Amino acid sequence: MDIWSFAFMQRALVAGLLTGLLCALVGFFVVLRYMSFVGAGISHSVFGGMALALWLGLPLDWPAMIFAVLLAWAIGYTSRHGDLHEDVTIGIFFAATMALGVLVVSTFTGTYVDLFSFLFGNILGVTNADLRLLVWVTAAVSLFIIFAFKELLFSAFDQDVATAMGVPVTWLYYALLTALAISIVASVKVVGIVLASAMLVLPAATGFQLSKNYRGMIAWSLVVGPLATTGGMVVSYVYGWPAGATIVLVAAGIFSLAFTFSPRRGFWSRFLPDNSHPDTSHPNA
Amino acid sequence: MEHSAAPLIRLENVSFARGPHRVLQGVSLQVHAGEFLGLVGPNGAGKTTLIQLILGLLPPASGRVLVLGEEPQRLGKKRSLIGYLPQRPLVDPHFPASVFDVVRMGRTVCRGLWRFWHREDDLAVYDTLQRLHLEGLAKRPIGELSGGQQQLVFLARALVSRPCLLLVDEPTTGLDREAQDRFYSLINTSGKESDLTVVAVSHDLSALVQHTSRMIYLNGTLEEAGPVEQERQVSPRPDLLPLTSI
Repeated sequence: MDIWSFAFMQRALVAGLLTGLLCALVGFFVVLRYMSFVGAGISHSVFGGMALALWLGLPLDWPAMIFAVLLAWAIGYTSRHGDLHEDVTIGIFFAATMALGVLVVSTFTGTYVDLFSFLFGNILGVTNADLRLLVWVTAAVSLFIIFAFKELLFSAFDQDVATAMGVPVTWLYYALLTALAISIVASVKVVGIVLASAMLVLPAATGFQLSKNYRGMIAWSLVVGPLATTGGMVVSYVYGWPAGATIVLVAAGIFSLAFTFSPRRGFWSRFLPDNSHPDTSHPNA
Repeated sequence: MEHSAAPLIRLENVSFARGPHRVLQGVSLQVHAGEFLGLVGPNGAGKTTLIQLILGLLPPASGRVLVLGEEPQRLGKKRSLIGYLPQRPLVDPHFPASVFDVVRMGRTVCRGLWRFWHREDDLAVYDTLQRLHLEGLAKRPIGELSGGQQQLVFLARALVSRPCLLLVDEPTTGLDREAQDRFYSLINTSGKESDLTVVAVSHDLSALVQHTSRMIYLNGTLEEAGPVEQERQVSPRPDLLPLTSI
């Protein structure tokens, strides 16, 4: 039987493609700016927001999104203005919000909660409302990244000079954190809280392995993200494996191949004749 | 020298402190179009702070800073008329950008925020690379260049928006004397070609003095160091590097 004849599989396919694109696009700057732990911190904090929404009897998505955005800003503010390093700040928020989520879910909600689907996703259970949210978030984040791309790239490369030249670096940083937070909330249904941060990193990291220029890196990310989500979904359906975990493992498998065999940065390329030595023939070298 | 036009940079009795430590005290300065001003002084004298005040990255505790007739924070798009080259930054050797991409970043504000690159930007990049004899490096990843080459690329990035004012802050740290001389000569040549005003900061008087039209000594307060010709001949201050190697 054709697996795509089921409505839930069609929704899952669209959700998988959108999540793959969204994570690849945001993940490009996550990898470029060494923000993968920020992504992990925000994705885990979503659990606290969802638990609070459950307790208050609210729909899950919007409160979780607001909670995630506020927490992302708090991480950004504390890392920029406090004396603590960013990873320490994230470690604190990460643990505190997860603990809050567990406490609220186990003590106050009084209702059955499918904790497993929160944590590891349930792509086959994606509803039309989930899809609508994913479409809106993908459109908004894509527009932001397309229009702010040159500014984001400049501040990722040289924040100090970008600031001096009048690029609104701080504004962009918080906007990127916001894009990251809403992307994670929208992706949670597909890959879950625990695995969302992996999907933010793996496609972009694969793109990084396969290209020395950001154009190639983005192009590869945008191929690998949807490929991993749809490929992982099919594999999970065929073998009856958990979808979120399978998607991430497929993405990790593709990354491993790129890491090993990439002609540009791959492990084996180190053993090939080297033709990329710095050009020292220039008079000012 | 008499100047009839309004100065590009005007500092009026500017002071700045970091906590209890007073960095600058009552600094007044005017820089006019076409000048190549050398700002020298020992480490911790407030040279970088002064550049940051001019760029509007720091607010003065007292006094007034005017750049191109405006307060630096209110320059808006006029900011693209200022080129800035900081001390040699730590470049991520794996950053996926070519020399062309890095130089084009210098046109971000000039093109306008939230706008796409235009062919005019690409032409300006190639023109600047050509002027600095870097056209052969355009496609090379920035992380694969040597430190000296990278600094020239960053000079190209500072010049690509065709600024009227260039601020350079210890740009030649780590370069040997020959490379330093070539670097400042390039700035000088570019300046003469495009009527550029340059403010160059260094703790090393000997590296700068050959190229500047005016020298100023800074150590918390400003002191006019006198005509450059004289500076090239007189004995150096004890806290500056010797002039004998010039």
